Amino acid sequence: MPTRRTLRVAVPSVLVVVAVIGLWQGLSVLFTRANGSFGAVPPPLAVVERLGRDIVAPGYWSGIAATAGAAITGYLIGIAIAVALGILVLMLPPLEGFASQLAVVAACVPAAAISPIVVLLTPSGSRAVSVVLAVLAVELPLVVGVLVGLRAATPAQLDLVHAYGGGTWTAIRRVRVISAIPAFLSALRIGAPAAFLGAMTGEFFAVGVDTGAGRLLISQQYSGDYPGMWAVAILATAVSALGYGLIAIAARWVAPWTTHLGGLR
Amino acid sequence: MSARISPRWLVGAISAVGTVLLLLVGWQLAVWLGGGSSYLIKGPVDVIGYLFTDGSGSGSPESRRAALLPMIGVTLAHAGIGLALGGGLALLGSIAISLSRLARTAVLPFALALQTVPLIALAPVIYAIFGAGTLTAAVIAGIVTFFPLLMNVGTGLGSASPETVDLVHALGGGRLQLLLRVQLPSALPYVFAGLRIAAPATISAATLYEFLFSFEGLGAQLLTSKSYSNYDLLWTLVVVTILLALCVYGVTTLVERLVLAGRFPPTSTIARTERP
Repeated sequence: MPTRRTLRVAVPSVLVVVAVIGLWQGLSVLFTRANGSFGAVPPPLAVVERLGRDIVAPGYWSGIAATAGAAITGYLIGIAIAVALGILVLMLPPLEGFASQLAVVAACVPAAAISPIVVLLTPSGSRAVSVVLAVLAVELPLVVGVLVGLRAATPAQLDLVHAYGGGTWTAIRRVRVISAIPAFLSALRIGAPAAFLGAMTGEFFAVGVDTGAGRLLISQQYSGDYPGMWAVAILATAVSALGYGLIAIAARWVAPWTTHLGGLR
Repeated sequence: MSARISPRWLVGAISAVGTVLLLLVGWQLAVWLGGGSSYLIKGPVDVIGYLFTDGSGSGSPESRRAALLPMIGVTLAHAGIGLALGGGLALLGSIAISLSRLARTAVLPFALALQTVPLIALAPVIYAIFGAGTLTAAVIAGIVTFFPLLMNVGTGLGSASPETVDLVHALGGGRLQLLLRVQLPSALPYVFAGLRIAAPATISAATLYEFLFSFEGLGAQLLTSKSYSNYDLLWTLVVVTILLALCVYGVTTLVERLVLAGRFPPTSTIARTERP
């Protein structure tokens, strides 16, 4: 038996899903052309049907995998930079402001500004733009996660280490790194979809790159293949959400004591 | 940290400018020492020359600067309309969420789920729906404003202390009074925390729109200067666009400091949005 609490959450959610699909169907009628071909908003059923066909096409997955590969590369580079900045701040605390400002600059840099430069400096066919945009997209959440995490240790915890004769290094190893884990993990979770977003956006700028979720969207836009575009949009969302979910599961496994923290985010 | 020095924001501003200068110096050194093609790769010195001192090549520095201004205006307009659209809808949405439990349980899971949707990367879908024009720019720029603000303002509206809420009720104030007198003012720090992320992101979204779908604004000019191999202009536009986004961030922070000055405890103790 579902409890009343679950029902109170589930019923409105289901109603909203039904309303959204209804609205989508209604809109699609407005967008459908006089000759019956679909416009910019194709009906839900046509998109689902298209999604079913696309999912089994191997060419599709190699494209999405290429985008995801660039996203993961950028994600890992972003993590390395954030951790390096964290170590720097541990050694030289006054640099904290500098580290967060670097992250803010990374977050502010417009994709359309940095991408032409990256394309200019890399050979044709390189996915470097996607990687760079993925790094820029994840840097702010990751650096803030690291910095917030490093501040998470309470003075009492640190005093305890010192009272038992532990030095700075012991305090870092036993307390500060451990207490930084929850904030860092939740930053990693937020970063996963952001990295995919960056990698996909990069494909709009890349030269000589023919595969990937972003490229697919552009070519479908030129050919007016609207159900195809919506199918890619749904797939891209699914991949992003999958990244978020995988990191969340991994976090639960690595650090089970963090599960109750920041549940919503 | 030296956070206790009284005009804290002055220290912050100076160190922010310092960070940007450091990045510029690093870039110039990379250009000088990197040994790449000086035709393709320009440094800050070249950009300053292009805009202020170097009269050679096509046009004078004055005419180049004059040509940049309308582009900046177009981009700012695109970003501003998007900010107004996204911000307005986020305010309405978060008020609805705070007023109605039904709206909260129905909308919140979707708002959270939508955060994983690569919305900006779906710009072609948005373009297909709204067509060419300012509306598409506004929607693309609005999207990057809507979500950070919805979550922040939603949290902010719920941040009023129970004592203050009781006080309004005890004095006979209704729901509207509570919203206007207590909830909205106490949400202000959260609004700004969201805006600090959203406002520069609208510049990014606007230039992305211009790059992909339009012939006006900084974004479109970035594309044309590259196709005409006008690399001086390209690098200048890159600097101008990035500085524009950073300025928007700076202005937002400044307005935040001015509006919140003396009214709230230091922001670091309440709203922290550069989440997590």
